[in-house]
Amino acid sequence: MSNETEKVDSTGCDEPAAVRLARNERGQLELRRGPEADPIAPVRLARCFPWSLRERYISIRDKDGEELVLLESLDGIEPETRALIEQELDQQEFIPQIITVDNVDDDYEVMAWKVRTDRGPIELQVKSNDDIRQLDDGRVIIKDHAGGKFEVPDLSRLDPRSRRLIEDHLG
Amino acid sequence: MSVAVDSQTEHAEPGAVLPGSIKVLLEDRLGEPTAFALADVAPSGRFGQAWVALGDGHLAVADLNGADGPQLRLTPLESNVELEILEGVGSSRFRVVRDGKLAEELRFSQRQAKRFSQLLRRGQTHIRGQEQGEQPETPTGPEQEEKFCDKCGRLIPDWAEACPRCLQKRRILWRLLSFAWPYKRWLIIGMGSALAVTLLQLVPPKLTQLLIDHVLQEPKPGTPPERDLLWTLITALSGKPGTAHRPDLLWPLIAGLGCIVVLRVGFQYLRLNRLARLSELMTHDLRTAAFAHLQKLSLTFFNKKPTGHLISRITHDTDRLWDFVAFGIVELVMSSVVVVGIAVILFLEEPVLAALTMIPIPIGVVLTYFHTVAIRRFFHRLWTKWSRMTSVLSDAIPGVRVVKAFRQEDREVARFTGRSQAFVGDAMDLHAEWTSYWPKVMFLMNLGTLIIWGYAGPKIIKGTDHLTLGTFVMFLGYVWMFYGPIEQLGMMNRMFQRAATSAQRVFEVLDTQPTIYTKSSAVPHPRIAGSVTFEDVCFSYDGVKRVLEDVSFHVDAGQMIGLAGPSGGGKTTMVNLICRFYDVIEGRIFIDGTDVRDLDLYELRSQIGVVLQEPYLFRGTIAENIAYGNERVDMATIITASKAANAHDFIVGFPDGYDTVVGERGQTLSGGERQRISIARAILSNPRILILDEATSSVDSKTEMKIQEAIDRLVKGRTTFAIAHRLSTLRKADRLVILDKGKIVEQGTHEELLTKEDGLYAKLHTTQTELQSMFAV
Repeated sequence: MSNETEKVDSTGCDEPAAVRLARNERGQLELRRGPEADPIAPVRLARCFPWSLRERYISIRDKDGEELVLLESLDGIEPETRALIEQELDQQEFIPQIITVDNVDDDYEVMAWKVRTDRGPIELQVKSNDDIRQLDDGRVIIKDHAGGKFEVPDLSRLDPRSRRLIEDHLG
Repeated sequence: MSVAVDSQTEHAEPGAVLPGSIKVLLEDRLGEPTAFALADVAPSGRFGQAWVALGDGHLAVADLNGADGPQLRLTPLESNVELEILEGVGSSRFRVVRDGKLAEELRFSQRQAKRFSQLLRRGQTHIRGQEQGEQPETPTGPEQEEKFCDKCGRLIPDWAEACPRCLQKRRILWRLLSFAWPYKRWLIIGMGSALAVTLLQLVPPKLTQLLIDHVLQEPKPGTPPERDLLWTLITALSGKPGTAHRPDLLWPLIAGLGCIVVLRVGFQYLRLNRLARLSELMTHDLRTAAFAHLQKLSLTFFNKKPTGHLISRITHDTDRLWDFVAFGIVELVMSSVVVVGIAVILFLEEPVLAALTMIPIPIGVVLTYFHTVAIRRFFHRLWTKWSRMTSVLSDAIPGVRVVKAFRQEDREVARFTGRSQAFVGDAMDLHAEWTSYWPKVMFLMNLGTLIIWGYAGPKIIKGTDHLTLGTFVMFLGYVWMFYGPIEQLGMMNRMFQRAATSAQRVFEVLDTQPTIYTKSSAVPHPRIAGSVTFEDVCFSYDGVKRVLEDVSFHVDAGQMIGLAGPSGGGKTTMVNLICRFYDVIEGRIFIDGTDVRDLDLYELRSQIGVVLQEPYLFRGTIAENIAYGNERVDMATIITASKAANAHDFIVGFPDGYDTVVGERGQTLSGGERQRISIARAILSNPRILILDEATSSVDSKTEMKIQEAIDRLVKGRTTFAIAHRLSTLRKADRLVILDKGKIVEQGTHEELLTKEDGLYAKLHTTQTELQSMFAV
């Protein structure tokens, strides 16, 4: 076995310029791999690294979850398609970013967190400290009772009170 | 824009209650909605409000996200309408497609997902009903949801039936004490002794005062001796009532002090001893009651609560209650008695000085309260950091070969050092907290002393006031007694909180009624023949996702049925229902023509034998494990069963033979060996219905043959349900039932199913034979 890096792109990423997406009347995304190809609908999008490398490696999959296209990045993609991808990813994702923590009521097992997020203020019901996790890069993810996720992008840049409240409850 | 919140919905979880204004708007057009859900994310991606409701053959959307007030849009639910949910990451979209065109798209967050999936199901049922020209059926079945408290709107933790926040703590604590009632003699002795200790504690400083003022020195002229109740009493008893100076009472009073010391020690012993023993017995009762009740409960309960939580309720929570009953309650009562008692004595003597002396007390209580809160915070932080640090150890030590092979020693050391440093950082905060707390309390206590000196000193020197040296010394004596109570009272709130929560968690187990039980009208059925019928059976574990839908089939007694199909198809669920671990939500299951719900549960299960993929062996000898469930069998029967299970030879091969201890920390057995022991167990119990759940997977082929041989013997004459992924093992089955996504897709013998070329079974079979021939080369 040789130690040299393989020259072939082993991820099998597709040529971005040929990929076309459109929205059909049903509101579904339709994929065309080249001008002559038949459209495939519906297709869904997924990020391969939703936390660590958001903007790269976007997978286009059919309704059964089988990959049709893997885009290494959105550069070089036809502008309309790119806009559609960005719009769709934005629509299917919902991870509010916490700006301030106003209050944490932790007298009982289930905690009530009053927070302000970039999507508006909300009260979270958090089942236990295990649902408040810090990633190695300093981000904190809070999971509410229903499994919804809320993100603190950088704990060290929060105001001191919010930071203290989060640090006290890290699981 | 936001909508005025109705007072009744103020506390409810968003989406659980339809706001009044929306209700009015909808009822105008739809009548009472049959289902509704809140789309809580606006198209912009911010939190918003749009309500979706079903009623009167229409789907209505009341959209509040627009700038100009609520908008109502209606879609008639006819056959040209399709409803779908597009799941996303954190938010999903509910879509209405009419005539192939997107008509509505609404975003909702995770917390509304359950209500939307219910709405979708009802809407789809309605549309289907329209297509078939029938009346739409009303969906039934339990719809389990997370519960929210009516009073405060908070989520009720899944172990609790009622909101722990709003539940009356006092009622729970009374109930806890009712467990102490069988031991009331000890309770009364313990409590009485505690009270005696406390009251006796109050006497010495008072006696010291009398000793100084009336025995050691001449009382000041003008002090009427009758002023002091205790002194009046003492002089009256000694036969010279009303005398102020009595040096002759020195020795009797010293003796009195001695008696008090002895009595106090005695009562202290009684208190600690009786209460500790009492609460030990009491928690034993609680623990065993909880465990016994737990064993009666249905599997549904166990699915809802993680095993760890249940274990901690029986161990940790009852232990906490022991602590509370044995020491907590008494300490609190005693502390209160001490504070009140001293206050009464001091105020009777010297109201002004008493008031001054007691100033530090409320400060101390508040200080302690905040101290406990902070300490709890720091401990939590420390605990988190500690487990982060130890996780490096539990990674790197068992994985040391990988670490060395990839030359990651330095990285692991750096990781460990970093986390240890983080721990030390928080530990420093903790030490800063508690080391500064004690000096503060000490200072307060000394402040009390200084106040007394400052107030009383000048007065005593002047000698004009009635304040005596004895009173002064008495005050000094009492001020140090506030020490303990301050600590206790500061921690009171938290202690009650914890005890009440623990008690609730234990009572919760005791109060849960098993959902599956033997009806009083159950028909005795000592020996079933073994025919099984499923009639339109539907089942769901969570009330949302159906894992079985309209499953119907019949098995004659003694037949062998193979269950196959992709994982998640519902095979294991089916056998769970036969064992009646759960009850169906729709349809019926018959055994010998009797609904399983009308059979005696104990009788039913005693005639069902189960062999699982990963058999569970309890800690005990192999013989005990084989005889599990049939304790009164002789050794010969055990050997016969083991021989039939092809287990005898390897068992005797162990140095300890049938007496080999297995289970946790016992002899390690291979998968195939465990499997054969569990087959022997099934053979011994001689069931009429046998369930084999993946009994031959994950063993090598030689072992598989041995197991298969054993199974063939076991199956004879019994109704058998065999689940298998390896289809070759199902060849002997009289009939195969193929399940996919909760439905029966095919039925028939092996040969019949193979002839259907497009059939699922034929496909599965081809794939497997191909795989086998590939590896056979």
